[in-house]
Amino acid sequence: MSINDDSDLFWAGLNEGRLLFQTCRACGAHRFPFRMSCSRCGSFEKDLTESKGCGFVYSYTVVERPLLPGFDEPYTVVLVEVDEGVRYLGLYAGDVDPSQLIGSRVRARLNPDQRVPVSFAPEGN
Amino acid sequence: MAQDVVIAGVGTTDFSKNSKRSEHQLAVEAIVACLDDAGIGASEIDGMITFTMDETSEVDIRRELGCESLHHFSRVPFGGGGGCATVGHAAMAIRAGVAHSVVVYRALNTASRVRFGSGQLTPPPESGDQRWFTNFGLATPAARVGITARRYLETYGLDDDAYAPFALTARAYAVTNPAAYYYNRPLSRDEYLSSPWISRPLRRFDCCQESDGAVALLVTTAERARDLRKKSAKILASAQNAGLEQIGLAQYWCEDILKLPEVSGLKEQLRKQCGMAPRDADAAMLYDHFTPLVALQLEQLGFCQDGEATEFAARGHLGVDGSMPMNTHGGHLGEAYLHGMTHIGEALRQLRGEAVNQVSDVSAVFVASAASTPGSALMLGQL
Ligand SMILES: [Zn+2]
Repeated sequence: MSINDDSDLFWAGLNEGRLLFQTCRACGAHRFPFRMSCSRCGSFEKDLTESKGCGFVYSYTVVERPLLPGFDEPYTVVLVEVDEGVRYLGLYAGDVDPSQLIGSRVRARLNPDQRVPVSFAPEGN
Repeated sequence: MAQDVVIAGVGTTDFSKNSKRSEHQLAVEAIVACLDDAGIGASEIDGMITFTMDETSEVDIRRELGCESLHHFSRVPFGGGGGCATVGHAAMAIRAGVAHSVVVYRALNTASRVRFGSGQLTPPPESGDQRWFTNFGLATPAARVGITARRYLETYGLDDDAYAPFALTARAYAVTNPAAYYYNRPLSRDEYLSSPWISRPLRRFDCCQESDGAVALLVTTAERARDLRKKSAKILASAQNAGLEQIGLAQYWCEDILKLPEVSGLKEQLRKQCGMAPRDADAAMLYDHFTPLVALQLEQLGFCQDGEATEFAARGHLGVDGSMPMNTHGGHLGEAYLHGMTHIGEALRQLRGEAVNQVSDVSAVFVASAASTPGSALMLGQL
């Protein structure tokens, strides 16, 4: 999707330690990634809402090669569906056996000064 | 009644890991080969269509070829998803009467110059806002597909080696194709299983070649084609479609990430135009940049039921004697990666009866550029 006039609001939120999504002011739909309008009802009116960052792992991949600059070991990226109904990507910071990872409960940690600013750890850790 | 339009020629360069020449030169070489294949002179060409991502210039190429006029030139966006659409747009230009013979082409030094797989942290603007992936650790196309590929295995209770039949089938076709990078280089199941992980569950051989080379196709009227020495492929239907929540190679924000959101629209348009479903064809050329996306295409295009694609492939349905021979040139996995244009050329060869892995009695071939980006498709038949 194109860079739009709302995208930067997400990254600004992260820098303030907030994991944000957009809520349509007209129909209440939650959405991420950020964009100008609601594809359900067409409204351009929206609020920024903070996610509690709790949810379950929807899927994951273990990136082995090439690694991102600054990484020298394979790392796991998870796609997490949070309880507010939107999905976020982030690094996985836990040691659950991969075969048990999908469906497991996780909680977000925000590290805005790191290369990957969002990570997810097993809930309760 | 709109006039019939055909693909009358295909030309390619050699496919390599280092062409040692410019994309401009590759494009010209492929177009010259294509015109020679069709038996049409450059003076007849009055249109050119390529990809927005292509870095050659229509005007520069025209100067090399000596086309007398250039009435129509346009470009199709969204990378490999635009492959079939270059032909579709050419057909529309011809039917609209603004051009008579259009060359569509793609030239790419992606092996030696810019490898997509190296991870584009600052991708071209038309690739969109990649921060939604790259900032979260997914820098490469393979890593983005890895998320979808894992969800697929989990959803259907499949093992990590489930995608193997797609790689093995493609490589088996490539073994007998002298143009293929993997010509005469068979892949065993053990070699597949011991190939390194790229982004689990994708192994190296689940990922396509990155290649240097070019492909050109000639699109013209059926009337003109009847005088040519070789057979042409009639364009029975051509479709282009984008899904509502589509973000290339990452359908994470679609309700069901195991659907390719562009596909249902492609199928519907083909049906309206020619009354055929993809599975009514005698062979299929699907976009095989990554094996898991072949599985999704087979299912979403209606070749098999959801969750059954890997078993469908394992049972040999995609082989040359199977019920739906697929990517008989070896595809992106075995021959070369030229954004799906080789697949269209192979469809023409199958319809002519000149393919290296020829399917018997081919009356229609389906081609999909359903790359998990806004995509396109063609149904081609005998003229
Ligand atoms: Zn709304």
